[in-house]
Amino acid sequence: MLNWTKYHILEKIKDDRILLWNTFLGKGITLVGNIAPICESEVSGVWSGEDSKAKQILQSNGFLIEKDQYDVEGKLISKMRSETVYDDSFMSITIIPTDTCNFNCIYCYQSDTIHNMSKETADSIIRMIARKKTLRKLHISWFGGEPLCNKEIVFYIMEGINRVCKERGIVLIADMTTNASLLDLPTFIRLYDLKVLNYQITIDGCKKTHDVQRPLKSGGSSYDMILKNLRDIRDNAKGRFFKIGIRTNFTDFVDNQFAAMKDTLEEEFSNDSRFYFFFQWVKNWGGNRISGIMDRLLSDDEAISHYGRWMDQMAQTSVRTGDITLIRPCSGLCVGCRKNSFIVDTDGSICKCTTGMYDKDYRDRVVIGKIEKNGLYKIDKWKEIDWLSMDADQNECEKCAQYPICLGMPCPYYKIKHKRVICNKKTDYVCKIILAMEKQGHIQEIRI
Amino acid sequence: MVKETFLEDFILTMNECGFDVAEESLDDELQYDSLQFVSTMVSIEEKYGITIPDDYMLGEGLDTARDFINMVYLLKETEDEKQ
Ligand code: SF4
Ligand code: SF4
Repeated sequence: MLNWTKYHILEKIKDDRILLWNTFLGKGITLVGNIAPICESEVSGVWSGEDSKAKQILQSNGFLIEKDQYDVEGKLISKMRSETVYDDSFMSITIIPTDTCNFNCIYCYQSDTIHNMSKETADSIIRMIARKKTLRKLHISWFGGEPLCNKEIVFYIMEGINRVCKERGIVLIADMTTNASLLDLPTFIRLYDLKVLNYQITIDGCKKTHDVQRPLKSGGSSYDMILKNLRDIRDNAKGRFFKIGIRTNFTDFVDNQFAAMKDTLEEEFSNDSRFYFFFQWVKNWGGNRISGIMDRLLSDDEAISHYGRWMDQMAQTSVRTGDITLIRPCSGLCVGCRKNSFIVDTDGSICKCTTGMYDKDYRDRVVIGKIEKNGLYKIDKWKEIDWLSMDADQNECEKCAQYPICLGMPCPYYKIKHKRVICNKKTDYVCKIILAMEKQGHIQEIRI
Repeated sequence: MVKETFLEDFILTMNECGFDVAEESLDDELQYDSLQFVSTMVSIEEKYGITIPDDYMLGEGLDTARDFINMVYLLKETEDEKQ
């Protein structure tokens, strides 16, 4: 007897077109043609449709599974969670080389402090990695402040880590969240060779809106600097294995200038799979600066309804929209949720959340240890367990299509701060991403 | 120690990228995920001064260490011809 996997999302696009996404396998298909046998059947539990080509395709793509598989798929994901959370062969370290920044963004939660990571702390990070004997895969993230305000330490650490990883045959990959103003071509090429391959940069709409939301600390425009760097990289970087995610932080101001933004992105980054685009709506992320624009923020519900519209409009361009990495199995787990994942602050403190570490009321819960000079690090196990435990309702999660992505471990900082779990189900973001991917032709189409 | 042959050097590169490859196992099927694949491709680019084009982006046809070696030969040849 065949059953629908619990972990699928189904969207009817037209009368003869249906999109299916398997969240467990992290892939989807678009069925075109006679989709009636699917639409007229129940799309959960036992397959009630007739024997047809559609049924065969659904089965071969993992949407219809045998009863005994159906009975254990939730347990399999729970097992995947414990293996992922406690995996000792993988480490993900976010490094803050500086907390200073050359921008003065209107919504930034960070304060105006200047702490730069010392060479001594840099050495202790390299030693910490060298000491981890079980390590097979290492993921480094650069974050700040603006990490490139302390470029030399970034290079120094990456060179040291590359050395260790080569010696030990450890797979290494790194990414960076940067405002891109200092990401000139020589810097980019050097970082590429050191395996910093994925970037998240931010452009808040067109020049007019971006320069209001993300001015330089000195007061000037940052838009032209960023665009010049991106053009240089686009035209002159030889390597193909990098990805630059362009993020836009949405406010009503950006929304009003949406068309101008769309035109620029289309002109600059069309049909180039190395660049992709995604949104975030501006929220109260904490800090003092946000108080100046509180009246301009969208509520979550408003933002969710706009989100579909923005994705839809961007999907009509040929700028890649809808990043599959956000909806792959396990991708919903942030660093806070994994035992061997953490943030190293400028002074070598080990923290669990990049937002929470700047929340003075909760910093003590977020900092769970410190790296010593010799690379050893001590973790406060009592604090750590708050981050690693699953407190969502497992029974509910096992029934949820997003379970393979979220693993029932949404934002632990929120849980610690508000003493309740925030579930991502209502944002429906998976659906919006797959719809954008479908529109741009990134999902396999099968005729039935 | 400077490795004398291309093959020895290549095997060392693969080992540095986390592959347990030896001369006897060049034709064995490799197991890798996207992270290891991308990391390896960038190491190969750096080591051999080549740029790997889009045709290899998805790893199609790169199942064994020998496939990777053939790719490097081919790309080096093409780049030499261009110069
Ligand atoms: S926490 Fe919410 S979104 Fe995540 S698996 Fe559980 S029910 Fe689904
Ligand atoms: S805010 Fe939540 S989801 Fe984001 S890094 Fe912190 S703990 Fe993780």
